[in-house]
Amino acid sequence: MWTDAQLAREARWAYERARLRRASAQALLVAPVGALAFLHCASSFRWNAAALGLVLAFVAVCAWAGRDWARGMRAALLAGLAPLLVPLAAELLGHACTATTCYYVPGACLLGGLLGGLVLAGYPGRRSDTRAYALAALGVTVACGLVGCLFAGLGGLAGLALGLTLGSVPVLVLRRV
Amino acid sequence: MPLSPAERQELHAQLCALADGERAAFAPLFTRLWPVVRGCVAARLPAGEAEDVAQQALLKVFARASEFDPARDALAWVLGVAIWEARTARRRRERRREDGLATSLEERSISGPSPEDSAIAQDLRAALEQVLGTLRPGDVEALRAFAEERRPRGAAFRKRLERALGRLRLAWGARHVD
Repeated sequence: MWTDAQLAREARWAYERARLRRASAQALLVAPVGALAFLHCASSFRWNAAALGLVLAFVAVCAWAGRDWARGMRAALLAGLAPLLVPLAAELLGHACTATTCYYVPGACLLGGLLGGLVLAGYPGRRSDTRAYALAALGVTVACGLVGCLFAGLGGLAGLALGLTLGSVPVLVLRRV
Repeated sequence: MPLSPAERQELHAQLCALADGERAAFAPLFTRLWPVVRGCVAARLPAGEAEDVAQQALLKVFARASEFDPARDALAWVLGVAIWEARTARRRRERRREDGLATSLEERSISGPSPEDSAIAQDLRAALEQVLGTLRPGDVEALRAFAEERRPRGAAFRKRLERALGRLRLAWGARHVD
């Protein structure tokens, strides 16, 4: 039998452990989608695995932290689908890859980033302007984009960054005006 | 410990906040919930057991706090968890008691005769004592020595025993055989 202070400590641990379990389960749900990146023809297993690990870590931490972190993460998961899947779809539709380079994938990354930025800025769920929301949203979207565009090299990453900026900034600016 | 409608609403808001990840809601929620859960469990279990079960129930409530659906009533949800925990503890206790009874019966049947066997043996022993009481002391002495396996060697004792057994058979037949 515990004292009230010990009981409070144990209850807090029970709460945190349960949150961590739920967060890990949520992160594992994302893993199969992220694993699609391994289908890229010129992908590096090591870099893809690292990027996927980054996404899972972001998702787990944000889900565990809750509040605006979790809301930002949920918005970013939706937004991150575009830069994750558009380059893959482009590659599967028209095969223009050599063993080391994919020619029009940087353009697909730009388009994916643009769509992702638009979704992120116009996410219809509960919006929040806190720093936690912004950090979680940006972190998870970029991590998802990395999974989708890393195989395209620096050109892909630059396309992703440009697309995300072009997609989100105008919407955010318009909303504030 | 009944809560006023305002307290219920506050409890609901705190549980919703904790479910959302608001850690600041933990301390006030703990302070509010502990007496509620303790009272609920104490009403269903004996005093010696209630405190431990109430603590376990409170841990369950906090472990499941993140699953709380804001559309539900917080107090009803918490009491549901506490009552379930108390019921589980009571069932566990009853099962333990049943297992203990079964084990003790089993041990008794392994270590000794059943109650029926004991009663029959006791009746036979009483009947034999009655018959032995009608025999001569020398015969009784010989029969006891035979029964306790301390018979001396030699033909004299064997003949004495034979005669005593014959007389016992006759006496037994006279009393117990039609």
